[in-house]
Amino acid sequence: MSGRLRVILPGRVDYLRAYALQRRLVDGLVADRSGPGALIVLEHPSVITLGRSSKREHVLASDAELARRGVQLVETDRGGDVTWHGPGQLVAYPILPLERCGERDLGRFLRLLEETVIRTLAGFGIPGRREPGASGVWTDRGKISAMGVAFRRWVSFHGISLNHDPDMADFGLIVPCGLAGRKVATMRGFLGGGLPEIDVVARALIGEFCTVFDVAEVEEVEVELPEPVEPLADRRRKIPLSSPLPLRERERVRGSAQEHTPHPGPQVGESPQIPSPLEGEGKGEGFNTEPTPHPRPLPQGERGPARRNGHPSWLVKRLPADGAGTAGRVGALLDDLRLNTVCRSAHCPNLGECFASGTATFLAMGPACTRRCRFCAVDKSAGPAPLDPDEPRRIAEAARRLALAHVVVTAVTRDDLPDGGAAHLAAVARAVRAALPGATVELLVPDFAGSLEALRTVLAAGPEVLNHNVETVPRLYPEVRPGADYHRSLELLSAVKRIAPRTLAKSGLMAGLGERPEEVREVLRDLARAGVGAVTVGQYLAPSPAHLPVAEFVRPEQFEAYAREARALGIAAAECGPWVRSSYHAGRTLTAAKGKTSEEPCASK
Amino acid sequence: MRIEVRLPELGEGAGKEATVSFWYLEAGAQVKKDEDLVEMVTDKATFNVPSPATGTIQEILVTEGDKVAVGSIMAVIEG
Repeated sequence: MSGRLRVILPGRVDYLRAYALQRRLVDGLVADRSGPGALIVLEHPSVITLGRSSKREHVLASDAELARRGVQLVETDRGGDVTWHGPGQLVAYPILPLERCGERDLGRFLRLLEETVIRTLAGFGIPGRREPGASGVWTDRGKISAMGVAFRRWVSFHGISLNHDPDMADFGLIVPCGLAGRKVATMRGFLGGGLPEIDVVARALIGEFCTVFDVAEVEEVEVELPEPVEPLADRRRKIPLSSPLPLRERERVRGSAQEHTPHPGPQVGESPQIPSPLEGEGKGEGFNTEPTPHPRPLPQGERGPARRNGHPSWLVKRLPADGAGTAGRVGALLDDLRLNTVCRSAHCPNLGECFASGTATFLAMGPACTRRCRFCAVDKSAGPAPLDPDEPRRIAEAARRLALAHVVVTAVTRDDLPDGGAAHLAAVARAVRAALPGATVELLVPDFAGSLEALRTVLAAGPEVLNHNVETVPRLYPEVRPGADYHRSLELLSAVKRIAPRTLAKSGLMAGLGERPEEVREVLRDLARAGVGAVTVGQYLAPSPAHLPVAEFVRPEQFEAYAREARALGIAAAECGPWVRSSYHAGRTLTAAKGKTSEEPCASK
Repeated sequence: MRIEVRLPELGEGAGKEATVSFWYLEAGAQVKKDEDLVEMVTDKATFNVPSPATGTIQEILVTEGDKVAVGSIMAVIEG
């Protein structure tokens, strides 16, 4: 009897982030063995993983070949030999205390996992079986499911894969499971054109898992994905040369031995300050072992009592019904078209909700930003890349395929470009307009270093909404937005009305950075004077411990007060609440602003 | 007090032995109760054996790559 089970369907997830999530869940169950178990079902981007019994020579491709194909190589702490994961392959990670699956029996646990896959395949008419002397699930055409698990204090992680319709060429990069001469089979190979969607197979697998592991109660939850964690990061000792471990690992461990902290698994307690994975007061208990360490103490009492996991109850989210599948599809589409979204780059907490409703905020001009704002998780490590002239077309194509009604396009700040990227953004707006004439377009722009010329360029493309966030109160600019200027941002916003009176000017700020309510009110007054017709105010959440810490969790009542204040000042649309982000319900915000103003935003060209 | 660290029972389906994969600590190191001492591998599974007590690792009796039978002594802790 496996008791309660939380099902997590995060879509396509980077291997190291999925690993970090597993470790977080394992630590929660180690701390409280009576807590609910979890089953994560996902796809990874293309990755080869080496288990603890792996031989490096079972990776046939050179590092250069892997890099060229965009295949990651990870040495991990599961049992078993080498395997491949990637698009078209389902991976299931059960996080369960072993004693819940009957007696403490490692072998039985593995057989139950195989049983889950065999039954899933049988449901689609594919005969799967066990092979004597080899684990995983086999068919007449070869191995269709590989397995490798690990336990910490007898709580399981890692798990089992199932080949739905993967790129078979990627399997050629390895000797799967170290078994030379054995073929790899896929569900596509059996079912051809009758192959069900991968989401359908995922649901079937979850159902069979619940039967095989005798789960009493199942609930689907949304989680925030932690920062990536290297599986072997807690190995801090040199490995002797006589060790059976792969050479690469020895070199790596030796090279980094000095840097390791003397605390096993430090990364788990230091997971980023993002919301607890679970919905509902008290339900998160047991998932995060340790309270998230906070560089500054949280103010207590009226404005935000911290919970055990560091977040108050109102900052816990629930997955919309059947949202994960849609979110995964949106994510896959974005991957296919090589597009960045601020949703993913900035680890947005609303990602599941927005992707599920078919909305995405595109991040134009490449993933790297030239500013160093301390609240933002967009990549700043790489140097800026040249603009991709094909990007406007791809964004428009994604918007068309998602049939978006309201398309938000934002951009990294590109101080390295003469026009700050204004012409490129305008091109994106025009391309979206051409591909989706019925949609409204919102451009969320940087401050263009104050250039009104750049502003004119983007406004000439006729966006319905021109959004530029002031982000915080002026007093906190040096700490929060180094390199930016509050008054320059205000001037940019007030220029919108002068240059394009029919475009709605919109702005927003984050709460919880240490601002006082009267300072927020002052900003709202400034925005109203600048002719801003829509504002957003939302809770700041630190994307990682390296970012600015949250100073306080602002209560929902305070957000409501800000919204009332904004409307009283004549700002027609005010979205204020813990979860509000600049583009949150952006379509709804536009409708609200339209409803209150006599002037319609400009129609499509 | 001398405390022996033994390979625990793995259940009927898992066989009667496992291979030492990685020692997290060396002889002479301080260890806390329940801290991970050693990673073991069986066919397709890894698991960690935690320290049964707080103390000093006096002796490590099996090295990486060694096969160890269930119930055998792997290390000695002076607690």
